[in-house]
Amino acid sequence: MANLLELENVSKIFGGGFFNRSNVTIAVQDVSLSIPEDRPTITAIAGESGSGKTTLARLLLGVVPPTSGRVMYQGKEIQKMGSREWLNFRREVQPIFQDPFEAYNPFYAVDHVLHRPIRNFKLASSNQERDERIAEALRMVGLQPDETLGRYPHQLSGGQRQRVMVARALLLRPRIILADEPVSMVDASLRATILRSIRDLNRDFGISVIYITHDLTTAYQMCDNIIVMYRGSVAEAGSVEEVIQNPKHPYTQLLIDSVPQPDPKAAWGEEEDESVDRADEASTITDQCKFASRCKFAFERCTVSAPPLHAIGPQQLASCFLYSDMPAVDNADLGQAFEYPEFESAATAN
Amino acid sequence: MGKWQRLYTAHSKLRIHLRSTMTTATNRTFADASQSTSRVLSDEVALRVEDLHVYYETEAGEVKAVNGVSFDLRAGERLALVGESGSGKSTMATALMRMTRPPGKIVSGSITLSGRDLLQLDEYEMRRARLAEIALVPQGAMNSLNPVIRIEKQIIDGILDHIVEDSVRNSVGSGRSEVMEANAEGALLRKPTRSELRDKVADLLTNVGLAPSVATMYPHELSGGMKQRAVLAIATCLSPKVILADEPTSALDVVVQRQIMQTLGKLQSGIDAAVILVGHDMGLVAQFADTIGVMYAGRLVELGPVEEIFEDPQHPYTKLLIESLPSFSEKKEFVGIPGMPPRLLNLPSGCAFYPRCPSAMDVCLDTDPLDIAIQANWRVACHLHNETGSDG
Repeated sequence: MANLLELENVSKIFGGGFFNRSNVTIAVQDVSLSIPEDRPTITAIAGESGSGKTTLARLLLGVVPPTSGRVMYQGKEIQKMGSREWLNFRREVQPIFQDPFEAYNPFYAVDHVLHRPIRNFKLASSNQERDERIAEALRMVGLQPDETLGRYPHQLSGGQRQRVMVARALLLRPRIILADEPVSMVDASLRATILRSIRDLNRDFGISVIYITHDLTTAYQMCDNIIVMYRGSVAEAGSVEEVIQNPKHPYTQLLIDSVPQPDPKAAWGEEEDESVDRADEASTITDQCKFASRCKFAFERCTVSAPPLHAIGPQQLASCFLYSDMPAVDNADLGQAFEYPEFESAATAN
Repeated sequence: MGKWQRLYTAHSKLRIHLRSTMTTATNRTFADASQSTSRVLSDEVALRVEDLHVYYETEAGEVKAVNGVSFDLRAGERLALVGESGSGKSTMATALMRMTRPPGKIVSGSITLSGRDLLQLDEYEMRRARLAEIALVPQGAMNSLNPVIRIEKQIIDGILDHIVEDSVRNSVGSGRSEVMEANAEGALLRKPTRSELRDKVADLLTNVGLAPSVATMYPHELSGGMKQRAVLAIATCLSPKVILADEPTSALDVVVQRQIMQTLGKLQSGIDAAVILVGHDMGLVAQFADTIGVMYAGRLVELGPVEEIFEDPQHPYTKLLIESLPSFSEKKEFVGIPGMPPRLLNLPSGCAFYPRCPSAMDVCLDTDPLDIAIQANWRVACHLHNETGSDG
């Protein structure tokens, strides 16, 4: 089975230099992940700021080269692509960014962001065909073309702007959509609409979605699988049901515990000790578990070596010594632990 | 510490003078308050907002961003104002600090804090009241610190500005006088010495969970959560009666968010201040607040105790707001609130929520719903409750 997008032991290290080997930040450390071609999924990459989730997204988009390891698209390494392959890659892997307010040039009507990609990738042979495609894409995300086109960004609400961005991504018929915190800037009531339109793309058009977020509740509601990152390393990965309902890594447990539940009777977790200051340390090269300094279960072994990923179950991997009795997986492709949903219900969902 | 204690007492005198109607409040200390869910509130009113109208003058006409909001904030109460963007909650927050800027204008109403109407104060008195009686934790507080000034100086700035009499504020403190002299208003007649201030800053930083060594750092040396804590230290340095927090954790991660909110809760119970939390994160509201006020199109459509409202919301909008929340308990279809928030320009008569309301009736189209009291401290502005309740 061919993989659409694949990370092979990818690491990204920022800083340092020839004379300065110590002062480096490990943004992503040794991550392997494959997104299969024939089974579209929604994968969440979750973690706090500084966990490396955005760097991982940038690696997947090919905008930063990995320090070591390989990023491959359809079996070809991104960094070694020819210009034609690179153009194709950039059409088929589409980003949706966090801030729908900054993605627009305020001097142009919103049509501009929709016309440009069509012209750049020569997707339409006539203006009429172009307008038809744009109208079709807007309807797919639940916008009325005649109410949207011709308007300027400030005349649209945040939710509408973000949906135009989804429409723009859709226009290019991508294989993968990479959404970096697409709803963190919009209101809770509009979040639902945007997330639903992204999920419908997955269900109806078979587009794989990588959803980068720090919001575990929407990740749980929307995704099939989740990767929890902590300071550049994978803490836990697997199907979202397993990881959220039955978290194994102490960090995942802390994250889930911290989410304020919309129920005044639900407890909001215990107060954490003074570890907050350490949480933001830059990730440097260490031989220990990165979470050890904050972990309440930490024991001697955690400070001596870094834990490998242990297979907790068929659909759950956790990088923690607490599960040493479970089989360790070296160079684990996180995709192996993922669940791939069946799409029989796709017709009814729409 | 002894010197500081006197400084503190002198400052308390100032506060007593200002708050002529209040009982004495000296020597408040930061106590560790337990995070119990059922918090008992006194009936003493800390802040009373009556029929507040804030409009923006635009070329196209008046935008009624806050349109007749009234509520009482009890001492020690945690009130959360929630609503979509454009519902007027941030305008409300700026108006409470009297920091509304043109084209915004506070048209009418009153904001009574400690027996005085803030809207009637002159600019100097208002400036004095700002940090000392009502303090703001601004939106994106992490970016509100001055990047080129050490944390210590930024905390001291507010203290000096408020507790030292004007004539001596800009002169050099002798640092020798053991007796703290104060004028009639209780403002200090000399500058506190450096060591007094340093002690105070260390205290404040410890209270917000930071090491005293943070005092000599610059903001860029701190993480987002630490900067937010430093801002909390500034906001609580003069033990205000009301702390106004405008989306204080919107840029922070969940783990840090919880720590900050718990710190805020602890500080607030320690100095017995009331908190107004402005935001749209209903999860945060459910966990933090005692009372929730739901704003829609510049009006407070429902105001009541958090637990009851989450259990049984009375306004259709509140109901949709709560239903649209994702949780871990079940995977459900994403439900949004249908339609768009109304434009506040030339708002037609009748209920503003009418076009989006699932249970709209004919009467909603042309008659403004009045506030109806459902029980003590719980009211809703909706025609659905006309038969059951009495006008409040």
